[in-house]
Amino acid sequence: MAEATAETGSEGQPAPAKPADTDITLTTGLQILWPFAEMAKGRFIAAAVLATLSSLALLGPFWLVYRSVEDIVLGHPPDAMYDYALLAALFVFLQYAFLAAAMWVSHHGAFATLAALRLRVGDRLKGVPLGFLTSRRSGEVQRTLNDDIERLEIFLAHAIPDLVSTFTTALFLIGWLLLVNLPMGLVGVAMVTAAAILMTQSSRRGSRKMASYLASLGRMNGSMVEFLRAMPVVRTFNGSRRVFGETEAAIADGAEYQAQWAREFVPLYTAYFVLLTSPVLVIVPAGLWFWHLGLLDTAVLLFFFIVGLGFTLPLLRVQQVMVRLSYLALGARLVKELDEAEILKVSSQPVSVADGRIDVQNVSFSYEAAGGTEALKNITFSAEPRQVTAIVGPSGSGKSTLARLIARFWDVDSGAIHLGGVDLRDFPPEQLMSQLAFVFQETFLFDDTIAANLRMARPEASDAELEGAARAANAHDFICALPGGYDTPVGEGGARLSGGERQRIAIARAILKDAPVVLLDEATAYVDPENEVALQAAIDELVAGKTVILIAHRLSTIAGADQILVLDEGRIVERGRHDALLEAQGLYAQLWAAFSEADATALSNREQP
Amino acid sequence: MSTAAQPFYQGAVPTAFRLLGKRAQPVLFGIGLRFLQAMCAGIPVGYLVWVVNRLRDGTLTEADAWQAAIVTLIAVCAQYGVWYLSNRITWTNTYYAIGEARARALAHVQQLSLGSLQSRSTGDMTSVFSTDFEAVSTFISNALPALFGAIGLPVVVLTVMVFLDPPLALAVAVSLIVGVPLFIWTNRRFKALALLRGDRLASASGRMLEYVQGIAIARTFNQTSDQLSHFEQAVEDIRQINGRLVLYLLPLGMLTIGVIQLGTPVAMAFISYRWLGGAVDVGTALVFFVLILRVYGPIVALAPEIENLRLGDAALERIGRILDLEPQNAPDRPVVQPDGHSLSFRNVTFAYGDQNVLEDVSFTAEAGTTTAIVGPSGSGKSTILNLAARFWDSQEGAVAIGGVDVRLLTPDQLFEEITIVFQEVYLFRASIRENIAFGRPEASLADIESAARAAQAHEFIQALPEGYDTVVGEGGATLSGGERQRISIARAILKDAPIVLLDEATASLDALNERAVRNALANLARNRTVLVVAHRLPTIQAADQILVLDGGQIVERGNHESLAAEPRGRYRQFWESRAQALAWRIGQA
Repeated sequence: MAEATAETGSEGQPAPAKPADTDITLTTGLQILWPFAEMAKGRFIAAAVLATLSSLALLGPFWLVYRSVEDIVLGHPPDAMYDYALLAALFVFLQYAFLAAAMWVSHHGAFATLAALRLRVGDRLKGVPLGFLTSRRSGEVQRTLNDDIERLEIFLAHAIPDLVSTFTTALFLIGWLLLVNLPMGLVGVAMVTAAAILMTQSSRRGSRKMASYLASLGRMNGSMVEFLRAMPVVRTFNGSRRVFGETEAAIADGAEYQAQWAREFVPLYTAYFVLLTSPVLVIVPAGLWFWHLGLLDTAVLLFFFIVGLGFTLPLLRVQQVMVRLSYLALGARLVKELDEAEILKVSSQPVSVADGRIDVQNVSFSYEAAGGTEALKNITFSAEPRQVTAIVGPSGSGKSTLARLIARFWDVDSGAIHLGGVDLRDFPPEQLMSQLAFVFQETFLFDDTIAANLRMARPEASDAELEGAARAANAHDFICALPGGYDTPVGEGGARLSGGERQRIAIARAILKDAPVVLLDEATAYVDPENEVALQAAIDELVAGKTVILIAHRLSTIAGADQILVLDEGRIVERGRHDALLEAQGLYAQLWAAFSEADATALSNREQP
Repeated sequence: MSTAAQPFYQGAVPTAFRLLGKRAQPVLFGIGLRFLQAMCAGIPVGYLVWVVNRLRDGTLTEADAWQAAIVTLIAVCAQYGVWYLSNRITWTNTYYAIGEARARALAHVQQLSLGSLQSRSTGDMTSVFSTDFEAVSTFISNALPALFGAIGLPVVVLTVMVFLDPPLALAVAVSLIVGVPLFIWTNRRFKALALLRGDRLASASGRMLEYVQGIAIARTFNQTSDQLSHFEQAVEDIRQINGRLVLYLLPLGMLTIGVIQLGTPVAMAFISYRWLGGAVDVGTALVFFVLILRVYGPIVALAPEIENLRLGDAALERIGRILDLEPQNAPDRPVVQPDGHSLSFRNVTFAYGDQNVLEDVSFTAEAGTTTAIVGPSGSGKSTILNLAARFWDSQEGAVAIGGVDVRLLTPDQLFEEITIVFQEVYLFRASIRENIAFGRPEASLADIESAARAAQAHEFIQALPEGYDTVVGEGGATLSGGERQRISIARAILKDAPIVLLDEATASLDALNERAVRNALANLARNRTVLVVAHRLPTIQAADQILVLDGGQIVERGNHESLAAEPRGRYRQFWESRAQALAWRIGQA
């Protein structure tokens, strides 16, 4: 079986090993991580000092055992024996008292830092472009805010005191050993140096295989996710063998790489541990040799035999920290990026708005992520109050982008959008938002009651007004049927309601807001067909007397619009009313023909005549 | 891989060894070597004691020094050799064994019903395969050897002590006798507290994350200050929960480790007492003084490994939960042949949890006819499709294809009969050609192209830079929703199974895509047995049989003419409201 696995391993194409963290060394890692400690610098310094005191206290019992042994070997009168024991007890007590204090201070410093960091990021999110939050990045933002920031705790609360206390204690000890006896002290220095070399060499030797292993783990995860998500397809198309094959190969490769890594890593790694856990192996022969040469006397020899044996203990602890440092720095880098996310420039000067008219002039826009290709090119149109402006076009033509630019989810690259004669960028955000109501495909509700979600739109609204809006949105009946009526919690993200119910709440919210401009993007998508009539009535209520801009795929719904803009590849290619556009025999006429045909096509197993 | 009668998880260590399978022996051998290594570490310590004693009575000679060098050299080599072997044997065997266990678990997952698979989230499942197996790997390769390595030296030292002077040995052991149970007890307590913290933290994080999800909406309603205060409260809660945990854990943790370490001064005092009182000679006292420094250190150093032991334990439990899921049974080789391509439900009752989703549903979709299922959301429409495809098994009654219970068909037989077009399209990260040929990898390019033509996909595929070789799926070329749907229809057409299960989409596509998808589906349905969850009026109107579902029961059945003639019928209401919805125009109220 081992051979079989090995074969699959060598045959499988290893993904190019490109772990993102290879470029993070100890120094660059610390450069990224340290600024986070600055927020509670005093506490971390205090923690480091306390941890150092604890590490020094750890040496106390070693020293006192040495004094006892020295007294015995050299035949001194044994008067101080009990005092040594008592002092040793004191040192043990101090060691853990200092350590507890260090951990206490460092953890509280860390928790305060994490909290401050989260608040800072949370505050920043109020100012970033709205598009930043609705795009795919919102998942990344969540992960960074939760996991990556949490991970900093390991660095702040553990790595700082550990690293500092280890280095200072090691320095102190080496100094002490050198002072007591130069040759033996140098032996100690040599051991530490050798250990350091072994540690770096062993991890370097294994690193390539480790990267391959991590890559194969990544492939395993990827193919598992694919397999699980594709399960229905895989089952009905008999694809288990093929899709599983990939996961199986990734698993076998992973085991093989890990085993290869172990074979390369083990020789030096074991040497490192033998050296650090049994310093006696070097110190006893070296000590005896120097003693024999007359370079040290018996008391000093005993000192090294006993105290010298304790000095590698703290070093074992750092190894753990070092291994994790690059991993920690990687998370810290993401936190830093989020902490410095660009925020929209906003004006705080209220402006006076003439009416609900929207003027879009020569607007071009491209998403950064899409590599600079323009999503919208030179768009110009006006949407009048009390009129319906519909935007239609094939998928990917830029319809949703246009609707979102009007709500200033992003700023335009060139040109300008005016609302009531004022450039969107001159509005204070609060004032702009009070002018707009929108219902998009995806509806977000807060984990709160229905009433609280409705009151988002107008906190001072009375119960009667709330009910009025809900009635208008055809939501009142289903709300009353819920166990707690308007006080029913909607669950996380509105999970306890159906898609159509959530959308009707969103419409009720927009009605309650009573803003002069209404933006609708496929507001009836994902609605259960049996709720559609109710939803349509709700929309009629919402748009009455407003400047309406809407996107709809079902062309029949917009046939009565005052103005139809036909978008194709980011440009307006046609505009006008339904009848005129049909006569023009352009893209709209094609779309309409396709729509009518699709709408009439039956699914039938009888041969078409 | 586990029997149904006995859960897989039977305590951490036995379960871990069961998971290792035939590699349990080498791993056990490796761990044994680690124990031996720890005892080898006792050799130079013993030698040190001997040297110190010689120093005391002044009999240490140059020959002794040489001897010391040689003995330590041997000890180094022995220790290195044994440790090296231990690491190598334990690690490589564990890694291979975990790989094999992963593969076995994967094979098990393959046999589960889709229902049991979908009852857990994808993230949950993948984290078992990556994180949990990883934790078990660390548990076996590092934590267990570390445990045996840590107790090796203290055991040797204590044994030597017992031979030298039992009362003194007892004095040295006293702090361990008190401390180790305390240590284990506090660790249990840690586990309980950590669980509690986990729950509270999850709830606070949830509230914190809601802010990120909701901030956009809150900003559009100018309600950020309110949401921000919730967010601030959640952040503060997280800080306090963490702070409180440290408040509990720190003193307790320090106390237990401290108690063990206090063994050193206690032993020092007792050695002095015995020696000064004349109960032991000076040599013995000296030996004890040197040895006490070797007893407690390794055990205290074990503390970080406790975490790995705990994680491994929890991971084994989670792995067990997956392995304990009952596999879906199907015969290995064909026992009966379906007679024709009809699909029938006979008194089918299906419950999800303790809630009935379908109650006593019976119908037959004759070969070559279309059966449309209509009804409000939550009435059980999709469940009928899932049962027909045997994604789940019904609790009562039977689903039959060509008169044969689907449970009597092999997976291959079932696969031959049925094809499904899902609302949610899944494309693999592969070329379009491979995606279409997924159900028939041996299909010729001509077959693939003609399937694509029938699915109205040939034209747009040709227009792609690399045509049929264009890679799609995650990270591949971007296709619109309608294009993706047409590729999935081509896949179904190429598969050419006599029974088609179809979930008609509610969310609409742009007109051009919509038309193409409609035509593609019409081509797929032709001359096949079709069972469709229908929303569109032309589909329903043309169906040979319409089943009106409500609350998991068939409340009306017939064709369009007969059902529409029923003035107060459910179907009639449904039809009228759909017609009204379709006639709606915005702003014309």
